[in-house]
Amino acid sequence: MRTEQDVRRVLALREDLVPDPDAVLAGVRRVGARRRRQRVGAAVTGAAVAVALVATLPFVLSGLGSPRRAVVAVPAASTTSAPAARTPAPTGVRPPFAFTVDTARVAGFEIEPLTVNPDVQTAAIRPSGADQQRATLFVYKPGTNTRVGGDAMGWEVWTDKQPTRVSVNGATGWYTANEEASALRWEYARDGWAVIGSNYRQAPLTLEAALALAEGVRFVAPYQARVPYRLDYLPAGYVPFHLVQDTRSAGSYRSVVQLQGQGRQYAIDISIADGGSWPPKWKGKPTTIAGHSARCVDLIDGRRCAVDLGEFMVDLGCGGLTASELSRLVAGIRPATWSDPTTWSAVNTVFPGIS
Amino acid sequence: MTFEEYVAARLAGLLRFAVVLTGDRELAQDVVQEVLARAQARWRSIVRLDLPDRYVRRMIVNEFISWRRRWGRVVPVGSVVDGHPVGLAGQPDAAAAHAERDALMAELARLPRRQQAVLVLRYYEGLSDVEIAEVLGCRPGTVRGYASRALAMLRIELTVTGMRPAEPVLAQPPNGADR
Repeated sequence: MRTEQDVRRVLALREDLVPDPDAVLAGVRRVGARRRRQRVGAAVTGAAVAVALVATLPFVLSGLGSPRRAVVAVPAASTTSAPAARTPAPTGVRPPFAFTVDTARVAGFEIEPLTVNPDVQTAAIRPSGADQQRATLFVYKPGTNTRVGGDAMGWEVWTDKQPTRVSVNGATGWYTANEEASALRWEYARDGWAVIGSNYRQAPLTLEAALALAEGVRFVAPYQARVPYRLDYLPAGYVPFHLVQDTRSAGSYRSVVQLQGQGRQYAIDISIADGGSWPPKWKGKPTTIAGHSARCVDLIDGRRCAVDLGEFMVDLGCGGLTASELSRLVAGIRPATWSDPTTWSAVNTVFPGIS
Repeated sequence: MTFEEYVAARLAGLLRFAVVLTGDRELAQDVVQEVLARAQARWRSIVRLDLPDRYVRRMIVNEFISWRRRWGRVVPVGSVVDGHPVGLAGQPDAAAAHAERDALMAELARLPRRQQAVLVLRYYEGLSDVEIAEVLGCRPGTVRGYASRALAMLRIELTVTGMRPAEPVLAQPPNGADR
């Protein structure tokens, strides 16, 4: 189990990346000089505008000197274009835990929906037949890219890296890459951006591969994410804020639902792995919850317990729950058939309060 | 103290702080450069403060939090660490420890920026929650919330005394659970 000391060590390791002070100093001087020039330029421009206004003011006031002309608003220059055409994104509002991206096989890769929350859905991109993820597709809710700051930080198109402009099914896109990473982003819907980014420690995708993947993304009508269980009991006030639905990654958690409760200090999560994952890799004290073998450990946000349900292992971040609530929650889990995702339940039928 | 004197004395420290905060050499360079360029323009008012260095560090934190997301730095909003990586079983050998360290670094970088900032200010700068709240312009309770969520995402076990522990969430052991 990791400790706070591990956090300190890892943060200290970041010092190895410290930039060259001389380069920063040169940059500060350059930026300072440029801004001084801009201030001077702005002052000169302002003065010129004032002169022009004064010169034309008499004509404006009198309406003389030229025939009356209709005022036409000139649209601002825009880099956006029509949304991708081959598989148009559904119009309307996507329910918070519904996917609008479907599974697809494209150019030797498989695209499979993976995580979803009200702001973004992601899909794993793996070479056909492989388990390891090579890249990730992010599909942001329209408008998300305009929000910056805070924990709900969105993502903003940023073009100072001299990206290559591309067309994705007729929509504007930008591709950037270096030796470590690649990203292709495109406007899949009006003010809605999608990104295909290579994963950490995976080779960057070539422009051709990224473009083929982007053009092969299949947008469909919204469909609810699924979880491999039903619940007879959920403590009052808890609603999901993030969901993982992973049907492929061997040995990992296939289903994770994170929930936040009104008036509760801590979030909880219900994470499901197959029964072969029992006992959990982390150290925990053996105990029993609702008649099932369990292991629990105390973390910064309270207690985390893994419970052996036979075909399933349920790993519960239960920091916000009382003992009684935890026991009732575990007792009320009704597993679906693990190997048959068609028996899994739509998330909006399991968790009340979401559409 | 002139701006030039301040930079000569403090630049190395500011860069170390920024790179620990951002985990990225290029971003640290950009953030410090931007902050110092702005600080230079109004240095006369900054230097009148009691602790100008603290003010500049606060500017760095806020700049990092609001820095526009660059290409390639795409993180799903409210993301969970896929697969809930946990500590390696048994006594890790050097390679395993190295891999675990790399994994922790990667997961740390994927946290929301405010949560990263709280961890850096708490574990690297050694600030109290009240001081962190002052830097971030929020309440100490909010700082504790950020910290607890960040540490939970990283699967950090509570080990250090003196830190605010988690609330006692289980009134009694569940069905005979030992605590």
